[in-house]
Amino acid sequence: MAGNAVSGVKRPGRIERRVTALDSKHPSRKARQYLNNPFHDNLQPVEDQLARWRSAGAPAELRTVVLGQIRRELRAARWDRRLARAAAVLLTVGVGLNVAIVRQQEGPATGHVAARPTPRAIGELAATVAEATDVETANLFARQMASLRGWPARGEEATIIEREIRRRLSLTSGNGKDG
Amino acid sequence: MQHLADRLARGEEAAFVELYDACADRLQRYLSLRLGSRELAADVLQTAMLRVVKSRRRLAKVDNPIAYLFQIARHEAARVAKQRSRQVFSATSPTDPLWQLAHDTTSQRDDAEVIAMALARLTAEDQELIELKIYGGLTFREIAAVTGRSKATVATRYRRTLESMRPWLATQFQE
Repeated sequence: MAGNAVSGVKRPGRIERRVTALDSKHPSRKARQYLNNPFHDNLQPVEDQLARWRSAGAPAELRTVVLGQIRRELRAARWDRRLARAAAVLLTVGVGLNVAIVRQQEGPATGHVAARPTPRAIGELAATVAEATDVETANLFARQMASLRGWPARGEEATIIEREIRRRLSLTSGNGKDG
Repeated sequence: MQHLADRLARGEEAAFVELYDACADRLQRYLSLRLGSRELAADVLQTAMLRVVKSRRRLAKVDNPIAYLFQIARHEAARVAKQRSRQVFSATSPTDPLWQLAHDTTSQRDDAEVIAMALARLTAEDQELIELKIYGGLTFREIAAVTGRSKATVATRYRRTLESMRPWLATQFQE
């Protein structure tokens, strides 16, 4: 390692300088080159020697088995989503019928104070639907629910609903880094 | 790679076929060395692929699905090895039949024996690094993601491992 003749302080060697540079936000071109090709001392022959051993790859029949299992898993998930969508539609229809019947029985809403569901409440319900199906179905469900309550969800209310859906989905899916 | 990750997250079957075809052979080789058995390696490969399918929604947030698959397989291999109460890094005994597979000539078997001995001389971490890079075919960035180390550490350590192996391999492969 080169040293400073005057102060006696040892200067970091070439490798250490490049590795340190890689820690910076903008590594130098030389540092990047080091990572891409660290064989400055031509260690390629060593790699070639190690690569002389090559066992066989995955068995051919394994591909058929694994891809078949994947296909069945994805198909089952699609059926689950369809059933969940059907359940969501039935729920919407059921709620809608209830609302229609109540309105018919009570007549004009004079003296009747009914609490309007908040966008957040609709969003929570829609988030549950999203967990079982997908975001698109959940949004459709939320719009239907809002419409049945007498106001279309738009603008800030629609934003609140969508935010609630995404918040719940992000809590459910985790950070995606675990293997 | 992010495009593939998005397609996998959406549950596109063709994307899973693509992932399998890109990884299966090198994953099989890596796992064979980890577990000392091709049959166990195939089982773990199968389990890892299914686990990726079942957790496919997470792939939308994954940078590299290949590294993600290797990471899952690595954890599964460690779990299987622990269940079987054997060292994970025992696949490099020169007498292990794994090294005799797929070699038709005496010369190839001799080469396999030399390489097995060379790897057995390394520490467990360095051995895995060689397995991931040469037999698993991963880039330094992917190895960093799989092992949880920085890319610089992986590259430097890999280089030093090869440097340490060079003199011994040179004497063994001398003609």
